[in-house]
Amino acid sequence: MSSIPSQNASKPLWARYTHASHFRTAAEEFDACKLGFWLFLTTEVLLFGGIFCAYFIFRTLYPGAWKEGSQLLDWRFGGLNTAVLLISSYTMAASIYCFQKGYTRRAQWNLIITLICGAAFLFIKLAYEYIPKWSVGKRPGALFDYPFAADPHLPLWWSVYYSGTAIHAAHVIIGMVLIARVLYRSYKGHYGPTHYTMVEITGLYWHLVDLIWIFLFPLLYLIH
Amino acid sequence: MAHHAPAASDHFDETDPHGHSKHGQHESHVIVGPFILRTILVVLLLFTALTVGIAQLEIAIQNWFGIYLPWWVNVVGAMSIATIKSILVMAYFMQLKYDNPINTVAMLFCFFALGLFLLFTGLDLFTRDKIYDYKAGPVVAGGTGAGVVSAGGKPIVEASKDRFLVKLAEPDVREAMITVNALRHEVHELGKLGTDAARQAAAVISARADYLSDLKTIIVKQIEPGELARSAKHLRDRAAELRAGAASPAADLLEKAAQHVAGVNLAEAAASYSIDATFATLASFAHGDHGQHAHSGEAASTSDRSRPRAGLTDALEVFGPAAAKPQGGH
Repeated sequence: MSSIPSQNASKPLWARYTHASHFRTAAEEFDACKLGFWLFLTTEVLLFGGIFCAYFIFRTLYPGAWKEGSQLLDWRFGGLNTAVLLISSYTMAASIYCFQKGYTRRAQWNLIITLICGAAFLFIKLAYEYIPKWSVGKRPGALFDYPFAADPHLPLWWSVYYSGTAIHAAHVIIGMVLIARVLYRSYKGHYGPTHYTMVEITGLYWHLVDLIWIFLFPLLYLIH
Repeated sequence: MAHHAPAASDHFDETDPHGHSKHGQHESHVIVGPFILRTILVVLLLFTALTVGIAQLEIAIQNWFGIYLPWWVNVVGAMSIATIKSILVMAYFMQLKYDNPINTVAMLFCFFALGLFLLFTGLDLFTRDKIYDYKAGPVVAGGTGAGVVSAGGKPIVEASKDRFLVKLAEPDVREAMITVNALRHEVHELGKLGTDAARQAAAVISARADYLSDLKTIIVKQIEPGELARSAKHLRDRAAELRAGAASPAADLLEKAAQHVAGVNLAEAAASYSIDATFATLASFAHGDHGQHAHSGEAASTSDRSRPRAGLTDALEVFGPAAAKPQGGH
């Protein structure tokens, strides 16, 4: 980066970007970044895999608790959140397309919509699910205090519900921080048709959040 | 440094991550256009609607025809749709379809590892009784939280119920529950009249009874003493509002109901107060049977575990005018 040709000084930051010196080409750098990130995503899938496995074990051992638990969730909030995340995934992908084409303004608006969708997801989760449930004692494990439970293993259901959805919500928050960073840097002119690696990587992270929810939603809300 | 070649337009450009296609040297990066992205979004939303629809259809078949589909129908259906959706997201939104195949290989290997993880867990879970019958089911009967300090040696579900029964015996809560019975009785009586004004008044009284029957009201918002008088005042206030809106027949009925509620003999009602019947009524209310149960603490069936319908309205109430600050449970 130290040897930027002087004739480039008037160009935006993205046009001045050159790949790191240990790569032969920008394409090689881009591919390496993506491969590295996909490898990280595999560890993320395995992280949630542990929770899915816990779900699988407890559902097999205590089907009554799982039936009762899923009936205590309202599919409408889960479905609404699924739609919100799918739309945000679309706007994220659209934002990458716009950066590739040089439509910076449109790309930024897509990122803003993605952020709004992320915030909407967290709001729905918190206001319509976590707070009303937690306040009447539908809590995980030893914190459980709901008087109308029929199955003695219901606290386990809430343990799996909260660990699955809360770790997912943490990913939504991290994803929003990354998107906000990309948005901030895009206003400084860091991303354009020849350099958008960070946008693409952030997008991959955001799509993973969507991917996990695609499985959490039917497992928690629909199957009983 | 060789990598600072000028970006000539018809020339190999090493600074461009997707610009080599002119010479066909590097096609791995393709721009996925808006048409494909939008189509995929629509398909994903349709699949979401489909998976919800299948789950609702299963419930409808149970409710209307009494046919219980085998458990795996729902599981296989929902998981297949989720798998298709995730493949679409990975292929198009995450661009695996257009990417260097090594990324797909990495992800497929990850799913293979996850599959092994679940497979060996399943091998254990489902074959425990193949040699010795007694190994079927959980090895140790546990998972009820009976060892937790707050549960006092009982399953934590029972301990929670016991704590709630103690709560129901408190004088203030007892008065509130007696108020609920009085209100339900008024609704029942108004139901016999069958007029529009009666229905209007009954709706107001029902809403108050529902509010007091809500678990959130009982355990989160602290119930204060004197609920009979407060509810009577509440009904009178609503009556005054109705009168201002020129609905005086309903207002008259409301005021009469308020008089009845205010006139309940608390000591007498407390003597015949049944904690168990109240618990059963509250439980059926919590499970979504609004207004189904009869008045005066008649125990409604708790066996009906149909889907709770109160979810949306309950949740909205958190931000409603009646909302109080959550006080961290009890």
